[in-house]
Amino acid sequence: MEPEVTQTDLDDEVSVFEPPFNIGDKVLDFELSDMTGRSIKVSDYQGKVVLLFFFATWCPYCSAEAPYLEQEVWQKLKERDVQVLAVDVKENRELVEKMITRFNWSFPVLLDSEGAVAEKFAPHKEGLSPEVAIINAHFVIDRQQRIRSFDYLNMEKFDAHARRVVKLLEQALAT
Amino acid sequence: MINIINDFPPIAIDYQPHTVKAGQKVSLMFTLNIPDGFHIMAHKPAEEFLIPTQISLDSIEGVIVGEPSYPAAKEERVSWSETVLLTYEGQITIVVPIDVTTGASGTLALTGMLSFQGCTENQCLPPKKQKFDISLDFAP
Repeated sequence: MEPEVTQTDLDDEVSVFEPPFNIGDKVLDFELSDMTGRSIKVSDYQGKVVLLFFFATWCPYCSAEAPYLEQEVWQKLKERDVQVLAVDVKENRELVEKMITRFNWSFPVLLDSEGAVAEKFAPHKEGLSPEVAIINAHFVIDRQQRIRSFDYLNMEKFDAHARRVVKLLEQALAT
Repeated sequence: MINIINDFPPIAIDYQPHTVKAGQKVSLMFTLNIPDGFHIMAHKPAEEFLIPTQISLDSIEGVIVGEPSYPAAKEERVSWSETVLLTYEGQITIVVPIDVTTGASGTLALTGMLSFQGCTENQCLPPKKQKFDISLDFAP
């Protein structure tokens, strides 16, 4: 049996960052429009396990992970009360549309045009802007809307196949 | 500890020649020195929405700027992606043909723009535009 991925494992990898919250904190609710203009809040998904994924189209890591988010995470877990929400940071709709088409994303993609939501979820580090630090970050939010785990990009352990994300979601579903 | 940075450092841009003759077609050779430890996406990157390296010169009266020629990309295989990334690193040369039609003397000042998106081994940084100036002296 594979060992659980714990937040301590994740913290070990991102020790340069100081997150703006603690594990177990209630997730900060926000409201953004999806690609159809529909307004979506995180709190709309209370009772589900939510994967919040921050991305940008220019980010090669995000492109590498993109097909697996659709196939391995969303398609395999959506019937088990997992909701994927992808948040594009500070890009225009046309670019994001291209990415959605390219990877056949069928989960909601939200537009954080001003980067205001990214700023609230980004780690705090002097001289590091939120829109840089937040790209390719994952947050797992439990059914009670508490932050169960998070990780910011670390290329040394980056897993484009999203296997660790699946594991974290499975762990959240099991509790 | 991972070294995370906020901004891509400036790319040193040099060019040759510095002197032109009126009525001359010139191949301006721009040498870009990409800082050690960094790479940028090639002019034709591996994915359609990755940001291509592009150089441009503002049009001014008396100078016709042609289409730049870009160097061959380096194929970069990374452990985390099936896609072979096409990048530039180290020193590269981009050639921009110009046709100097003016008969003026003195110095010709041109402003250019280098657009790119780069990464280190640990992170990728947002797309960047770097402005630069060149001046060409007229030879008699």
